Amino acid sequence: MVWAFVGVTAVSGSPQLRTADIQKILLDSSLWGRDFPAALAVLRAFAAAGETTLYIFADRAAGATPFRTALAAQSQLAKAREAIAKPPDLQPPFAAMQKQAAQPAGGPLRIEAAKIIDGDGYHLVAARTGQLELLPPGLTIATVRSRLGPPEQVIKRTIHAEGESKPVVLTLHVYAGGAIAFAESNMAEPGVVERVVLNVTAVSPAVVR
Amino acid sequence: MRTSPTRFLVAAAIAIAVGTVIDAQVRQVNMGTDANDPGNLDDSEPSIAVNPLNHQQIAIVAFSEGWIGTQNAPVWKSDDGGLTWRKVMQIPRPLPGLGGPGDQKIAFDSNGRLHVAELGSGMGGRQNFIFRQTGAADAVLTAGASFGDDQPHLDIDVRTSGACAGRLYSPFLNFGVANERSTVSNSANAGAAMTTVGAGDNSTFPNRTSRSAIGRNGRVYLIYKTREGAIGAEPNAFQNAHFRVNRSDDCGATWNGIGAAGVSVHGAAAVATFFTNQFGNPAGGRVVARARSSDAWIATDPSDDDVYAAFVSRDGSGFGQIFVARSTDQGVTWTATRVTDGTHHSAFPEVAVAANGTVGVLYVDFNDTGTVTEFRHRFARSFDNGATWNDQMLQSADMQGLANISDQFLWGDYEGLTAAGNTFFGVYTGRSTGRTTAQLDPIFFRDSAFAVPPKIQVTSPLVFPSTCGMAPVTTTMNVCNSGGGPLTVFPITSSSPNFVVTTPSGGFPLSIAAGSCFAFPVTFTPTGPGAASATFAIPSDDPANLSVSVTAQATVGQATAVTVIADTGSFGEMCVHPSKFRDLDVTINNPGTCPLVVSSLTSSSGEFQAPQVLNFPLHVAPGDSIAVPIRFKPTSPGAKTATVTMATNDPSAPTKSVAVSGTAPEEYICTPPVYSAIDASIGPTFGNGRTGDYTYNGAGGVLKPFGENKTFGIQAQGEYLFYPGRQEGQFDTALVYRRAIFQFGAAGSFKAANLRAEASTGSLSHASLTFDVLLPNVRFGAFGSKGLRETHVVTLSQALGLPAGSGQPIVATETLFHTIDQLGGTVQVEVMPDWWIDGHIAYLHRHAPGVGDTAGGAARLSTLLAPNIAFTVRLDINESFIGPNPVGTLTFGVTLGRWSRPPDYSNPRNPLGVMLPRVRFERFTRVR
Repeated sequence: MVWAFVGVTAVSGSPQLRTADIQKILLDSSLWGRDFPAALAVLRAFAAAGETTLYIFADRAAGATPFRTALAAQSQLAKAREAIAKPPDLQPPFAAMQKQAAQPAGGPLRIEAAKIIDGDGYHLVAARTGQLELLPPGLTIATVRSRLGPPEQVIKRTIHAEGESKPVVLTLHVYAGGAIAFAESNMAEPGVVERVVLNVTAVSPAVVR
Repeated sequence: MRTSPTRFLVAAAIAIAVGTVIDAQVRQVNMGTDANDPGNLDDSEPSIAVNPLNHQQIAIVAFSEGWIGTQNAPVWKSDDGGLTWRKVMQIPRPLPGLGGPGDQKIAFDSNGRLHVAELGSGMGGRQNFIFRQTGAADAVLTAGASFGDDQPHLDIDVRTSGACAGRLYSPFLNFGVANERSTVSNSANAGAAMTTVGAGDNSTFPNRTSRSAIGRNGRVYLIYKTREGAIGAEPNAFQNAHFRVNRSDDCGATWNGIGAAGVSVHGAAAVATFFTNQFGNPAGGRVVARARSSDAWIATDPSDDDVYAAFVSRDGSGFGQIFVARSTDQGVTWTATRVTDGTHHSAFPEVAVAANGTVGVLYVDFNDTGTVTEFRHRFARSFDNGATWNDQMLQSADMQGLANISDQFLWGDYEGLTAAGNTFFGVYTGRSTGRTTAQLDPIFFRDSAFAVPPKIQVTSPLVFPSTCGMAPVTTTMNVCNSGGGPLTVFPITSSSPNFVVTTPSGGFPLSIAAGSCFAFPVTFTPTGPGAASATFAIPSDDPANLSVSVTAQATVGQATAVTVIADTGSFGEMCVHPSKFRDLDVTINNPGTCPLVVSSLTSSSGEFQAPQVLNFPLHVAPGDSIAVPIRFKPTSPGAKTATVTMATNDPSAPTKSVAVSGTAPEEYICTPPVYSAIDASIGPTFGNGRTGDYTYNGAGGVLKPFGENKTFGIQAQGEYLFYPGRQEGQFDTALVYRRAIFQFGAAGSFKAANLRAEASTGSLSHASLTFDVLLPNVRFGAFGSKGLRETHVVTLSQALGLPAGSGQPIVATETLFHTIDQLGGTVQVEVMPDWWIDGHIAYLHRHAPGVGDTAGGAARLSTLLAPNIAFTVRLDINESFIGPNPVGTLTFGVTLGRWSRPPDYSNPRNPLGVMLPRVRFERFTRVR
């Protein structure tokens, strides 16, 4: 049995407006780390692996789908690795952003099956051996609000693990019609963005052609 | 026997309303307050432990604050049996990047040291840790080695001897194998290093719900379930399972004490137990709980090593029910009975066994028959080894909409229950009371292990008999037990160090049998007079009165020493004299309420003598007085002061002092010198007008000071002079006044003189004034005299004179004495020790017709032959009778007695006598 993350919320609003909002948020450099373009580059790979929700942590990106074992994730992992091998065709503003980004010292991202903080399961995780900064250090919800204004919704989501550990409870500050949510976690310092939750289905068209 | 649900609801309602509730059994305290939980955290999945050395010290962990880099996670602590709580932030983040706590369990070791099992979650997965106390009770705990990866539980063998004494066990579910396996890590060093041993039988089915208990013989029991088959439909999904118990007889090294597969506590047939994320009724979006490993618990009976396993099983009622299986043979065989009543789904059992064998089960059911779901925390006890159950409602609450609730989690997977002595201690996560924001809070509860609990009775106030003095006073405080079970009394504290309850010889805790009393000696040590009081806090396991306050009252009387003495203690002037003294009474009054004891009475000076009291102490009854005479008997002149000190039992004046004073005047005031002397001398005369060839004379005088300061004096003296042709006698009286170095005199002198040539004796007198200056070695002065009776006819001859007119007159010829006025100076000077010279010289104003004024004077050399005997040589010129030619005498004599001389000039105050001029006179004739 796999205990899956339910998802951020239903995506709402017109596609055109939503795309503009998504791009505005993703292009706001104060909300993202210096290596964030690398995460956008693997967005299509997670989509190819069937992930509908992507977590952007400070030092890695992870699919929301947990697998009981690493072996159970191999099929999806292969799909992701196959997709990542093809260079992404990014929308112009993101292509420019990626060109401007310095080549990370640790090389390109690799996708592996690994555990994340949410539970006992294995997730598809994009990381690298070198330092990776996908979110700015100490990003707070207050900063997000100062840049984007009040969230469209604030909702809580509980992530149950297969084991009996305390569930991770995310407080999601939802923007762009639900495509992007900045999340606090009950396992982290209050007020600090522990992760950003991307709706892959909604975000991918805004980023990748 | 069951109690009416209505009663439970009423009790719960009272608990909700007031936060801390006393009902017939359970005492509940909402630990969370706006002050200690400002973040409104859900405080779920709580665990509880009681210090085996002090049952008043209770520790609880829950999902309260998490540990982060700058803040530790808390342990809730109570030091008063659960009445009040504080958070101690003492669980640090064990490794960087680990969030948590993710699961926890708490336990004390035999030394009262705290241990906590914690789960941390990070990007690399999960890790369990044991935190152990390595410093003070509230100091930051020390993390041990990591082990396992899920829901660690914790038990510590609190025995102090035996092979496994002190061993720590932490069961958890190992997710690292294909079929999850119940696993137990053990540690011989409080978790610093852990040895992990697979325990459950996962050969066919995955395990879940790993809980442990330790018997008094050191055997360790593990209960777990084997999950068998598919999970049923939600809500309230069931899954078949066996609840099995494995036993370790070797400190956790192996778990095959009753077979590797353990023993099913409910027999061979599987049971249906919850495996659900929707315990409750989710209809309409109602919140629900998860119950996946919330269906088994295990405990041992500390009195007989029986083992009790609580588990969930759906029975014929169709509801998941709580059962308790008992093993009297250390897990080999089991007999199960149902705790619940078959009317509601029930889960989340925790079981504990008290020292008297009473079994307690904490569990949760829900009632969704209305429009809301009431989740009900319940506590059942069995006083007959699990055969029958007595159930109580702790709280029935609709948790919908609470601020900090997590749907599908609510209070968590398990809650806390333990037993210490004959009391159950528990904690559950329930609806808050008294909070600004309605929320989930940790609710502590405790209950007696007796059907009729112990009941403490103490008479208050405890009144000490009135006492005098500072000696400790002891009385008895009877603590009685009017309840049905033995009462355990914990250390009694006092609000004042002056009131102390004597610890029983056997120490605390003290057990008082039902219907009995224990007499505690209580000692009051006064520190001062007046009323004193204190409050004793008597903690006990009376569930209705966890801490009884008893007021102790004492009144300390006081002896009060008040002293009164006339004239502010001044004795005035008192001359030094062997037989003279003056007494003045010191009155000692006792206006206090206790007898005044005067244990000594001393004077700082021997000149102020305290009475010789042969038998101290003196006692002065309250309200009474005694007079103590103080005698002033100076031994030397001068101003005198002293302090008369008495030692009393007046606590405010243990030494009472009275200042006394007096003055002993100088000796010249007290015993002014009285001068008296007799002179006699003889010697030749010279000069043409002398009345004989020799003279002898005698004289005597006395000077006596008088007046307040003895500065006045009366000087009286007489003199007799003999010449062959003349005799004189003179008597003088003078008033003398001394002021500093000056001396004044006013004198009157009477003289009778007889010249043999004359017919009769003449009487004359004069007045004189004297003035002296008294210097250390010399006295000099001046005098003047004027005749008062200036003339006296001593011879009268009559003859007929020549006729004149019609008659013939009688011619009288008178020979008369006439005083001579004098103005002169005096001197007295020491020429060598015991040799001195007196002298005077005078200007003599004569009245005889045809003669001029003249001078006179005298000088006398005196030497002291012996005390009060002096030899004198005196030269006089015109010493008394002044004729036509100067005359003089040279006399030798002796003085007996004493008259002032130069050594007396050191006397600064008394008159020292003056030189009174002789009445000098002359003779002449007149005719009438």
